[in-house]
Amino acid sequence: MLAGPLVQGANAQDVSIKNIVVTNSSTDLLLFLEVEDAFTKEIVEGVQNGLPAVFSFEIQLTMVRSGWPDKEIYSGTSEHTLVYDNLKKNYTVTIEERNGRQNVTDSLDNAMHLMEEVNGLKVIALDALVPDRQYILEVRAVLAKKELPFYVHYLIPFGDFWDFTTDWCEVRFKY
Amino acid sequence: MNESILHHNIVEQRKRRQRRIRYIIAGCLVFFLISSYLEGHVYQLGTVSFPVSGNVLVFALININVILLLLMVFLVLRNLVELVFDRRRSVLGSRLRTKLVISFVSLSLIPTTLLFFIALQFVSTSMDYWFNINVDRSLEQSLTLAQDVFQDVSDLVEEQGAELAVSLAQKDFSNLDSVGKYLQEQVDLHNLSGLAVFTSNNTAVLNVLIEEIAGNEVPVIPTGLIRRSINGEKGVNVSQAIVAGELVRGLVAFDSHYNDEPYILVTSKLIPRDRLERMEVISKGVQGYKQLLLLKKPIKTSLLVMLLIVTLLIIFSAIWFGFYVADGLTRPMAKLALGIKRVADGELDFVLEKDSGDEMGTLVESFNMMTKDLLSSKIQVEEGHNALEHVNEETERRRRYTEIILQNVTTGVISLDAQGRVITINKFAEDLLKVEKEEVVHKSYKSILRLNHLGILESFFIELAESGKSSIQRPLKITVNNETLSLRVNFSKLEDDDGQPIGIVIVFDNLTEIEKIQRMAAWREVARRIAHEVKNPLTPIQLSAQRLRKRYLDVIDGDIFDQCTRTIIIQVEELKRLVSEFSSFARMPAVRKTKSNLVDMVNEVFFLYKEAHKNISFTLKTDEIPLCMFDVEQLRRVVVNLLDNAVAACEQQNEKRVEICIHKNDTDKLLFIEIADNGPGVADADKVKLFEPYFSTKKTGTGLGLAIASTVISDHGGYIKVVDNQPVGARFVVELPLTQDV
Repeated sequence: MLAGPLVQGANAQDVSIKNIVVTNSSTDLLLFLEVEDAFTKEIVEGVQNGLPAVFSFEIQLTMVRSGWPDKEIYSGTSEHTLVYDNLKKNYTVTIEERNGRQNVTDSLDNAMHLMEEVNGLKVIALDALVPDRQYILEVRAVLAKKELPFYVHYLIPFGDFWDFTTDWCEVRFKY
Repeated sequence: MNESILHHNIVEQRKRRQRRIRYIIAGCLVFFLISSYLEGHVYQLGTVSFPVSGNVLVFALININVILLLLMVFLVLRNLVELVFDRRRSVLGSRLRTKLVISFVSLSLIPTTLLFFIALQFVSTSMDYWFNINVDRSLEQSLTLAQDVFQDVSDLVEEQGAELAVSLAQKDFSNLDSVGKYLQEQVDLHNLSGLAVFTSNNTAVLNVLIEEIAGNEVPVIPTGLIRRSINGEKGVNVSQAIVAGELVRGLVAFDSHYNDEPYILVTSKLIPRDRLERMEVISKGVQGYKQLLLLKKPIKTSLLVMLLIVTLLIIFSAIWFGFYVADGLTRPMAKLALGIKRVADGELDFVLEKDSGDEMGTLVESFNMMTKDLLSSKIQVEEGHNALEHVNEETERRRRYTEIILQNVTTGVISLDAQGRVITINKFAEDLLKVEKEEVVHKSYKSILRLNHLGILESFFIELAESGKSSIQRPLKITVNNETLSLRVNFSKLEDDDGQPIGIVIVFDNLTEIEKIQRMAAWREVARRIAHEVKNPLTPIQLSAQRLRKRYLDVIDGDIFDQCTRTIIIQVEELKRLVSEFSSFARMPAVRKTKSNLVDMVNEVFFLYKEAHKNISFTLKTDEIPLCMFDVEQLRRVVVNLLDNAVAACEQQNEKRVEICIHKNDTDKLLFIEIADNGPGVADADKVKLFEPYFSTKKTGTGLGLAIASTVISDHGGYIKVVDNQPVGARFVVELPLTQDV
């Protein structure tokens, strides 16, 4: 009966990752991607009512090995946080992969765009990769649930509010 | 016994199961509480990293809670079903348990349900009240007010910045120091918090700040804003948080005479910390309110669900507690009732197990004590009973022995109580007096006896009372069923230990046969002596008379001599015949029994008499009589004698009838020869003497015929008697033992 939300929580809305690009700089492996349709009406309403929205990008990098189980060489997350300041009427987007840089904007569209876009996320130093090997990079976006005001989350322990997890997106590449 | 063990095992199993269920429920409750606490704790962890996803853990805990709740519901329902079945099977204590459970459920259900609905209503009303439209509007206005403050400051810095930028562009400053002085003046003049001049590459060339924020670290202006400002965009401003408060900064580009690149004037205005905090409070309040408004419905639903869960928990706990208390009360009572039933069924060695130290335990202890006492009393009573039974058996055995003796003695014994009721009568008395025990016992002798017999008995009682003795003995002759009996009767008073009369015992011996035998023996002696004494002189008398007659008949003329001598001779002849009969009576030959046919013998005699007496109607009725042992000649003599008497008896009758009947009694192995006539019969007084010698009712009889017949029958071990024939006449009954063995 109550176990339902657990299942329902996954893919509660049709959110997907697109334009995923894995490339490299001279030193690091870089990831570019965009999340599509992440902001529903409820999420926007929640954000505008002061609820912070946190997109957590979960990244796993594994090295393919023949005859052996694949080796995980990196696993990590990067968060984008959107907070609306109703006093100043602006949106602050904190992007973890850019050393927690805060982007303040009056425009919701800008803020949403910043939230949905991962631009040059440094996954791992190229030194850690073995040349001529096959790698799989998997990424997914999770709208992490945050605490509700006035400890309301204690009252609605199984509430199902604006919560999504995209499917894992996989990119195979050879370094 | 086996059934008892089986029942005990079932009870034990059930007890164990109940205990297990109780533990499970208690465990569920404890686990429920722990998991609830953990849920709260996990939530409190908030964003703290947790090895497992907090969300998953919470849901797992919630689901465990639900499972536990369902388990408890299942157990409670199972208990309920069990109770229903117990009631149907009328298990002891089930009704009381039902009552207790219903009471507990009612006691908890009514207030809990009431409280649930009140709480629900209260929550609903309160939430509606919290989200009142007036509150909404007030908060909106407050926020607008706070936002206006920011907006005003932003407008201010923009306007002041624009004016100052124009002024700076127009004025011809010789150097940056003079610009700095000018800016300082403007800060003071326009009550600004600071003015700064940046180059296009975001380097501050002048920075004038008021004292309040001079020591604060001021954040760098975003390069993007510098660029926008250089591009000529109006109204570029930024709000930056510093220790003293919020610094609102407006950016305006201006050209100078001493630099090719435009400069950017940054006009700053501080919103003090305390003011900012008040605005933030308003902002957060509004945000919180909006969020709550957003969550109004889910909160309501969640509260409802939680209230429902708590209510159900209370209800099921109450039901379970009801079961627990009911079990605690009814189980010992049921045990006690079972114990009482088993004790009532006689199982006095049954001991109840004491499993509590409360009043019920005391009751069980008392019950066990009682059964123990009962058992010891029962053993004592049984011992007493056995002893008594033994005594009774002994007494009964003695009584039976005495009774057997009494029943088998050849003496009649009749006992009467003080009221004259017959208490006992033995077999001999029954047979002799021809009465049945059932007919006389517990009846007064006055109602049993005929008038003449009653007179005799009462005269004896009077005599006994007058004699002052405890017993008297008297001879008595009575006729019972046409049979005259000669008895020796002894009347004894019965007295108890206190000398109080409790009745009379009458003991009598039948002397009829003895007397008869004695008389017969006496008569035989008389007959022998007479025969001996009389026979000897008779022959000389007869011879003398014959000689006298022969010699003097012709000499002495006259009839007298002739008549006298003839008379002497005839009488002597008669005397001889008499003496001969006497002699034969006295010398009765010994009986020589042979196996013969009685019917044939009787038939022969019957035929002779039938032929000889054509005027008499003879009838013969015989049963199938087997060959039996008897003396043919002597018994023929008896039959002849009896037929002689019968023929003689009916001589005077117009219609003469003689009947012979031979029959047997296989049960008693007896043979009966009955010869009846329709003559005048025999008077009661003559019946006793009829078989004595010299008693004859015939004029020509010697009186020895029936005496001889009686002797013959006696010698055969039989018995002869005369009874009245119906309707008239006499009936002689010869009773012989039917002996077939040689």
